[in-house]
Amino acid sequence: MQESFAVNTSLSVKNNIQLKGLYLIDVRTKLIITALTSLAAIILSSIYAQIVLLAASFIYALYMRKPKVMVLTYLFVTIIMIIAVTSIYIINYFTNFMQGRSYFAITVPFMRMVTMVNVVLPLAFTTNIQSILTALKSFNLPLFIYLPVAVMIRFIPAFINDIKQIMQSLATRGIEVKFITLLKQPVKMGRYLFMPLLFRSLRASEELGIAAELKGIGNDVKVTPYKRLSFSINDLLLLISFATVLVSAFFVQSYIEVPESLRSLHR
Amino acid sequence: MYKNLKHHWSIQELVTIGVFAAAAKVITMVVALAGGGMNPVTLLIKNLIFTTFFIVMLYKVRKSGTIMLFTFVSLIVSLLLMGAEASTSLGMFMASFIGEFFILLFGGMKNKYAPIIGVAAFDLSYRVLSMFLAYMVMRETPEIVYAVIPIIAIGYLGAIIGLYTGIKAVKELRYAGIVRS
Repeated sequence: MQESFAVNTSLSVKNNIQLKGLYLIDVRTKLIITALTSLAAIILSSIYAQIVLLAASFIYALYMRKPKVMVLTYLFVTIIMIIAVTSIYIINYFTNFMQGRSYFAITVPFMRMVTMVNVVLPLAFTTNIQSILTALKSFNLPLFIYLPVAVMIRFIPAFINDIKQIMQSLATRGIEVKFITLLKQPVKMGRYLFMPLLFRSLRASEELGIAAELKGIGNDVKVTPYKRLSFSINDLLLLISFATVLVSAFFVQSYIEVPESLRSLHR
Repeated sequence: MYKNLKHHWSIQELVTIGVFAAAAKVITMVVALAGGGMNPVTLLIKNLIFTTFFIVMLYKVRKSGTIMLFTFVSLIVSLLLMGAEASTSLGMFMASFIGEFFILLFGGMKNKYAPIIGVAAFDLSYRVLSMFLAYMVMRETPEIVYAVIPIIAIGYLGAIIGLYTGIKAVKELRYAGIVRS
């Protein structure tokens, strides 16, 4: 378990040298952008306003410099969209519920989805856990929120490792955790996976709880963060840019008329 | 109020909430991956395990507000690390309030079955609210939302079975002396 938390020094140094683009942006800026853009995407319904948001968020996501992740995500969304459009085409063939409207009109929900993905991906892929924790602390979150979040982030890799061990131990008994075995014996497989992890969780919570109490966590002592967050001019520029994009999107929604053929049936 | 909240949960209880939130997240993810994505069996087992974990955790931390805290913590981490559940997060958080409300309605955490009542109310309201919010997002093409209803129903069936397995797990753990309440 301890192995999964060991810091690979050479890797961190290499990563530090390669810090570029969104890696330099403060995590708080990314959090604000993610929250506001997602909210705007839900509120806005005009196809033009969605295009504005989508274009801006796409450029933002490109700065993440993870082309593989982006291609895979877009491929996934495209497949879902093709399935949805095909289904609607078949339904429309029999019922004509589209009433001559363009199929572009049904792209709005997907644009909304892609915009949200575009702002969430950079947050997830260009921010390390330590920065997220420091950011949460900088928001002056109370201990009853900060501590479980910290524990959860800290224990996810440990539990992944534990599950690997459980699967290996099941494999030594000739049981493989696969779709077929899950389908054939769902109760048994659920139990095989569930019970060891339940006991592991109970033991970990007991041990970690005692350790936390012994280390004085919860006492009103000011702790110096290992890594300080810094709000730079780049953060300010990025926030101003996104504020401009959001205002423009709302302006487009209010003042630019969408042609009838591009309007959806249900609004 | 903040001072009261600060001492409402002990450090041990806060750690338990964090550990169980992590375990629930990981095991549901593993089941989803092992099951080859979205299919009825995987959905059923995923929800079954999550509900069972939730009930065991609530029997370990029998304090009002635990459902809200557990949900909030899971959501923060899901949103920050995986970007998942962004669309259902609001529904989930509102459902946690409903779960807490039902616990209060049935006499608070002192009630023997309070955790089960809370989780049952949470499970149902979470799905209803998520559907409503999904409708809000996809309101231009609601046909897509209608198509998801059977999938959510299967997931809910798993959660109902999870209530039963949760009770069974708590009974066993109580017999083993691990759950003392």
